[in-house]
Amino acid sequence: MSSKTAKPILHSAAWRISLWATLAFACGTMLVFVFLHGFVANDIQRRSDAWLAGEVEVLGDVAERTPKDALYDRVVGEVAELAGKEVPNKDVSESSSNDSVFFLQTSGGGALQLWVGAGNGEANLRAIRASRIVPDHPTDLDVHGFAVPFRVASIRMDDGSYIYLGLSERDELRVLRSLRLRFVLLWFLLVLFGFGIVFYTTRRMLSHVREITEAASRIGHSDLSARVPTTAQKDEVGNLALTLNHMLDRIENSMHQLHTITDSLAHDLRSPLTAIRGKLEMSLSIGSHGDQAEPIVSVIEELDRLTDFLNKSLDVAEAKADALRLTRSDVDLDELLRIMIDLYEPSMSEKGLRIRLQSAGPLKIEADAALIHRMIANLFDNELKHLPAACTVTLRLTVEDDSSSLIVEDDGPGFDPEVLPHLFERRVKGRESNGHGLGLAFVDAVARAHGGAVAASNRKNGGARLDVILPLFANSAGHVNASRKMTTTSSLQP
Amino acid sequence: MAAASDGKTAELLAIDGVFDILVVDLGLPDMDGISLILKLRQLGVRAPVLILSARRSVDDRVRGLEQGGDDYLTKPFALAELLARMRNLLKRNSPTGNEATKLRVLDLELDLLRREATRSGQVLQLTSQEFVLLEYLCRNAGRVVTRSMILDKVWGMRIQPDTNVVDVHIYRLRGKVDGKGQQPLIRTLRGVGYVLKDR
Repeated sequence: MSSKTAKPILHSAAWRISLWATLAFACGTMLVFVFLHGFVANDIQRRSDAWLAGEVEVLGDVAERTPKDALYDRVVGEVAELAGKEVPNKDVSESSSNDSVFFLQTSGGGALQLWVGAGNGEANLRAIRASRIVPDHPTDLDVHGFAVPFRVASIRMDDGSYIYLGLSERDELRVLRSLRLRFVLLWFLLVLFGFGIVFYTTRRMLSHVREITEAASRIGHSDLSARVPTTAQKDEVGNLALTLNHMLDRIENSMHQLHTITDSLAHDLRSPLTAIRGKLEMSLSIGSHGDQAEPIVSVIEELDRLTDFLNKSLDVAEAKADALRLTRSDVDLDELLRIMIDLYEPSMSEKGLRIRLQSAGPLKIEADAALIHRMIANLFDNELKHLPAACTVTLRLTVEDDSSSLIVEDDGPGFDPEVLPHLFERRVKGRESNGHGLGLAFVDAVARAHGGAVAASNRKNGGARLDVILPLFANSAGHVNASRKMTTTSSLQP
Repeated sequence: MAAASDGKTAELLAIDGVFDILVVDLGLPDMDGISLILKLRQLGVRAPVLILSARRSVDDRVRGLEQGGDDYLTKPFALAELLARMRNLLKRNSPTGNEATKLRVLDLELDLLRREATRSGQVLQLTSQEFVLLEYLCRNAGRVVTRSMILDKVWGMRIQPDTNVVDVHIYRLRGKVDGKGQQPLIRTLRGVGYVLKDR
């Protein structure tokens, strides 16, 4: 279950949007922190520099005024030690604080004169000698044996000796490290929280869009009365839903008008046709046989053809507007084809045609039975009318995914290449054809109304081929529409 | 028999008189034919209804009625078909005894159990489909059946083929039923349909 739901989430727009938004947010906050960190580090350094400068000056002053006798070392040493106890940013809990500060006085020649601090000061002296320390400018000093560098300020005495005061940057670095640690923790929580909020809101907003999409796709050929759900908010999504509904109103309206027109046209024409036909039949049965019977019979036949034409052209007109009304039920295509073959076989063998069916057994689809019957009859009529003698018609019924495919192939002359691209348009027919050119247009219309497609082509080794694709279920309509264009133009060459 | 030119009159007539069958056009000047039928049913009119429709697509409600024992016919239709459907409705609604296992029309005899047809005692070599067709003709012997009736009742489809598929079936059947020197039984009424002679 989780793998099933995880994939759509990773592919959803909400996921992508929140990922990008979170990335931007994380980068922004990180930038702000880097700036703040630099600022705090500078400030700490400035403060310790100020302390160092002040202390070294005081020490210089004390050293200047203290007489150079036996007590000199003790006085200056104690003052230096006192200064070490007032270190800024000092962590009180740190027990071995005496190594955080050192005091060093060198003679003019550079020899160690006085040392206050941990160890014997040799390493510090070497480090001071190695770097050139300018008086009054505190600098960083790496001392061998200490992990953390010292900040060292110096002053030149009148007697040519130098006083150095070093302050370990240990405390400074610790403050900064704890600042960084806290920030990273906070930053991580913030980013996680921000991602959650962005993901939740975009997902909520996009779920409205998805609801609209789902509702819109449910509004099929037969049911135009449904509407997409609208939200109370007047935001972009709400407007989308409203606009879609307005559009559906207009479509439903024009569809209704089309139905009204075709229905009234059908009604207005059929009722008189029925009356005429009835009267002709009456006069035929009254018994004035002989000379008058023949023209009456042919008039009746003409009337029947006219009615059929009327029916088909209205159906095709409705289907072209995607307005054919369907009453779906289960239709077994395999059974239907067998019955049709049974019905057409005598006519075909009379003409010297053979017909074969390749089918894997019952194949039920949800379709309008009456329309499918007429569509298949049209396909058979088409073969019967256009094929020369001694040809074979092969019907292949297969099922792929959620659509059924009926392939009608023959080994006759094939479609006229000039006519092929326009085969499914109304009134298009071959030169030899004596029909009214509605047969294949009707086949196309019915397939489209069911969400399927029809494609015509000529086979490589001669003969015509028609592919009729019908979805198995009413709600899977629309998936096969895309394949339509592809196959119509695939093999135009005869 | 009574004719009404609008729904109101039809309603009054149907309640007043006892009719064996009602023929209702869906496109009435004052009301919808279906509404009339449903109203009459509510008022206790039990007679079967034959619905005439000029609409092309068959309404779901009509299908509902069809399942309820009534029938429908779309315009334009042959008079013969109208009569045949009315007869069917009347027959369906009249209580009949046991279904006969044999049908006899002149010297043609159909054994419905053994699915065998004989003419003047000679067994006819019929395919099962031809037998069904002949059975349908025999059941309507003496009456005209149209091509669309045959398609509907024998093959179960309401289609109008552009080609003469039904005619070919009839020709073949005729070739087997009407042998040389025998009286032709299956008659073609051009423009109307076929008739199996019973006299």
